[in-house]
Amino acid sequence: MSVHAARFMVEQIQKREGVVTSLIDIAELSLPVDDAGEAIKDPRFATAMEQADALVIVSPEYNHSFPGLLKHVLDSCLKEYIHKAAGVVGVSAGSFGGARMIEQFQPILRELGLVSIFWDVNFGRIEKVFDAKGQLLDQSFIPRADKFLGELIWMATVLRYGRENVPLK
Amino acid sequence: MRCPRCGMEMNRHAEKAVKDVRAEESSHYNLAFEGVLESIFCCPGCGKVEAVIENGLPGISA
Repeated sequence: MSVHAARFMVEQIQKREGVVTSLIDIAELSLPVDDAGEAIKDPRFATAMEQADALVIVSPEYNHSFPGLLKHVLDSCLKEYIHKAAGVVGVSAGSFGGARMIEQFQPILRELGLVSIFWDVNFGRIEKVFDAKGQLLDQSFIPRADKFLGELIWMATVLRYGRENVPLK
Repeated sequence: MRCPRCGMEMNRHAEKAVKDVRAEESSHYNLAFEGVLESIFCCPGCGKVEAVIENGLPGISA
């Protein structure tokens, strides 16, 4: 069901004037699992990360954390993330909407050089939020996503200015 | 540093200590930071990102 949440977020981002986005499904990257880190960098993913000013990471929660495959993919890049904005969207069958997974994610975002925002979107009880075809059933997620994206775009704009214009002293 | 893609002057906006050092980078190993220091550059013209390994500080680099 996470793909419904991811597509919903893409739709909300596309409503924002001047913002270009794309959906990356990590299941389609097929990174090798007999190595890790930048040694297995996927050129298409790395290029997308270099071009991005911000990441919206949509992830389910399993056993209070994120899937290992997501970490494996994120570990394949480093310089591409530094001083860029990131927000995490949690998805769960239970009521917490991935809140524990999002907390677990924060030290990883920090080490990757990403700057985490303080808004999340929590899709709890996901089967009641979207129908089987991905149609949104709970309209309250539209203003929630709007607040999240407002903060993310502000952070991305500031960080882009900094990356391009403010030298490290 | 000039952008290899568009030639514009790049902005050095970050340093990162990289702990998992490859063998070919070992001469740049910096004991103070227990890894290799990379400078991160961004091109204001085209957005290209570059990472450059710095030499270790005098007297403490392995």
